[in-house]
Amino acid sequence: KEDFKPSTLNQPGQKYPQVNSQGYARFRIIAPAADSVKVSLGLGGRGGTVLHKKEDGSWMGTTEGPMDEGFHYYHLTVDGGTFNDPGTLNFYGSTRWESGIEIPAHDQDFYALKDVPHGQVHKILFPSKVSGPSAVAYVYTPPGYSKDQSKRYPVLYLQHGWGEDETAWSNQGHANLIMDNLIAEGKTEPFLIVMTYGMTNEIKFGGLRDFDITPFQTKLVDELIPYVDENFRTIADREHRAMAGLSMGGMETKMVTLNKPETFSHYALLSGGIYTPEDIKDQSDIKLIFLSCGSKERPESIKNATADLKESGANVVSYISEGTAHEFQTWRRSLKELAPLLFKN
Amino acid sequence: QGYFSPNTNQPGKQYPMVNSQGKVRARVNAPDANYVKLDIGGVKYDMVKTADGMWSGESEPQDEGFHYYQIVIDGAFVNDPGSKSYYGAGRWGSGIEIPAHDQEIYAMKKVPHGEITQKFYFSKVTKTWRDCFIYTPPNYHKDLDTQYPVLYLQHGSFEDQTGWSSQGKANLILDNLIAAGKAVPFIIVMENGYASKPHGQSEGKGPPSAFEEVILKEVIPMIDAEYRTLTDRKNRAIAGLSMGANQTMRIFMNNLDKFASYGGFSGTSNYPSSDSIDPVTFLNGAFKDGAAVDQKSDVFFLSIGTTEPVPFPGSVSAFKDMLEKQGISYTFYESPKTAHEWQTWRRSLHEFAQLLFK
Repeated sequence: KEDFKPSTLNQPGQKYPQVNSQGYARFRIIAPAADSVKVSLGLGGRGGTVLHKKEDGSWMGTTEGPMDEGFHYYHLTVDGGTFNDPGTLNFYGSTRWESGIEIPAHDQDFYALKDVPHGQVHKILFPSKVSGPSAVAYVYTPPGYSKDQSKRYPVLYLQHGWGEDETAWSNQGHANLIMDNLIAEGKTEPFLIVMTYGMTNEIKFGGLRDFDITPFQTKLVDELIPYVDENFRTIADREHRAMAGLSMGGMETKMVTLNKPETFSHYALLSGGIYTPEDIKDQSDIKLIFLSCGSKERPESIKNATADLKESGANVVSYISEGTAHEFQTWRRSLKELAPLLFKN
Repeated sequence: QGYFSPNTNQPGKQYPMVNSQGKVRARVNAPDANYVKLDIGGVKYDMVKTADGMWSGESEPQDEGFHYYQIVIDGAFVNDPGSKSYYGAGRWGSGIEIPAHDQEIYAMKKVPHGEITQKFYFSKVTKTWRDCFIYTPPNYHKDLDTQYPVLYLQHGSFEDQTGWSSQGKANLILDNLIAAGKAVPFIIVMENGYASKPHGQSEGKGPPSAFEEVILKEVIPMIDAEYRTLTDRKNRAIAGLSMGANQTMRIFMNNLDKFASYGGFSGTSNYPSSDSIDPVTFLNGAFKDGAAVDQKSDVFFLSIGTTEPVPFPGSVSAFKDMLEKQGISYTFYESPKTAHEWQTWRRSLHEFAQLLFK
């Protein structure tokens, strides 16, 4: 369908990349002296989309089919070298700032920038011996946080996946807008979200067996949480503290929550594995376990784990995102499902 | 020699590298490319292909501080995959940090840190969603009884609201000054200087700038409502660099009832002219009553880098002459051996901040 429009993630004034109403993506790169220009985004198993040279020196091409709804990372290969598309914004994923494109989704309203009261995302620098002298974290405070200075809030510690960093959940995840919209509709209690770098990129992909949680756990539990509790108006107890993570951030969430049951009471793994009844010493102590993934991942494993946990008496909720894979649309939707379940004491 | 990886690189990326002379060495992988160039400081340096399919090239020494740059590969202008990206020249491009003898002023140190907040709001003036960045000083969230002065701080042309807290390091400059007791803690609001009314409401070429209206009618009331600010004119300052210096001077002179201090870094409202200024006609006579302007300006600060190109030195010089003729006292700072670039503006902020709200 020839109704292509610039992607919403394009740099100011850039016409390409474009997407159409069916989810096809179209690219245009100016590279008059190049011999080959490819885009890594395309239908699975075909190695992306090959662009073709036009008379004006530009290279153009359209994906062979519709892309899944939501956000996708991609990059260009120009004569064998990996570069970003100058047309679009950069997002940190696969351990580099990659190009990003947004395929309009049927449910995009829940993370749209709307005329509702907005919270804020603060970039903080906290003292850290692990990754010091200062480490970065982003803190979402809900609408009204700066007005009513007597109110205190619960906190969700929310982790990104391998190859990503502390910017992912607010940039490509739109965690702040998801919360603003849910709060405006009265669907969730307002709470803070804290996002920091999970130190997941120091190991090679696939080397999970050797992963040592200790440095990150120390940074999170001994350095970041006390700083947040001191500098923000939090309710600083385990009943009002949750941890969630996507993909490898889910693996970290599982390890940290099981190591530090005195710190967190709500656990959520988004495309990030499962808990088994054997993992958990005292079911009654955990307020909520949330497990999710996309329908194009391995939903059976989430469903089976949920059934097992339910049988053992845990308060477990699961969610399968329809028609999405191991990508941010799955995690945006998961956060939307998770938030209303948190801190309902 | 002595090449090292600057902190403008993406995590874990060895290249680009810089040395103590300020030379930049780039290295990119593009095995099948016909040519690759390093485009920095207005010069395109040829890179050469090495045996392993990598292209390698080196620039002449660059000035101290931050520079935008890019890679040209077979006619495509792209970012260096080794560098982080920074908004300048109307695009998110590559940036590189050349070590400076005075880099301590913006170094990340073990001192209490303030924070940077991104604030979204719907502008009724432009009918669009906009966002600004707000620096709050250390302990803002702890000392709930303290109210703070505010500096409105603007970027230059083809830059945006991200510039001052990213390549400008405004937050670290303030954190360090506050820790050393050299600056009063204050809030900084960094807006996007590009603002225009929706199409159809303008005549002629492009829509006129609605920036002043956005700042006065929307941003200042919003900041004063949502932050613990001191709201009298003595505790409100406005400053900008280059295009931002021009814009903010107009806002300052048009609204002396709202601001008491001004900073113009590498720019003034007579840009690009170097002709002598007639205070009777300039800015509708805003400087005509020199004594009144002088009395109302707590800090009137101008700055420039000593190696800035035409027309900046002449333009700023003509403006200074006019101030002197009108008997308006001002502080003038010259950044040694820097051009129309961020090192000039970091240093300017470092000087200006120490004068404010005292």
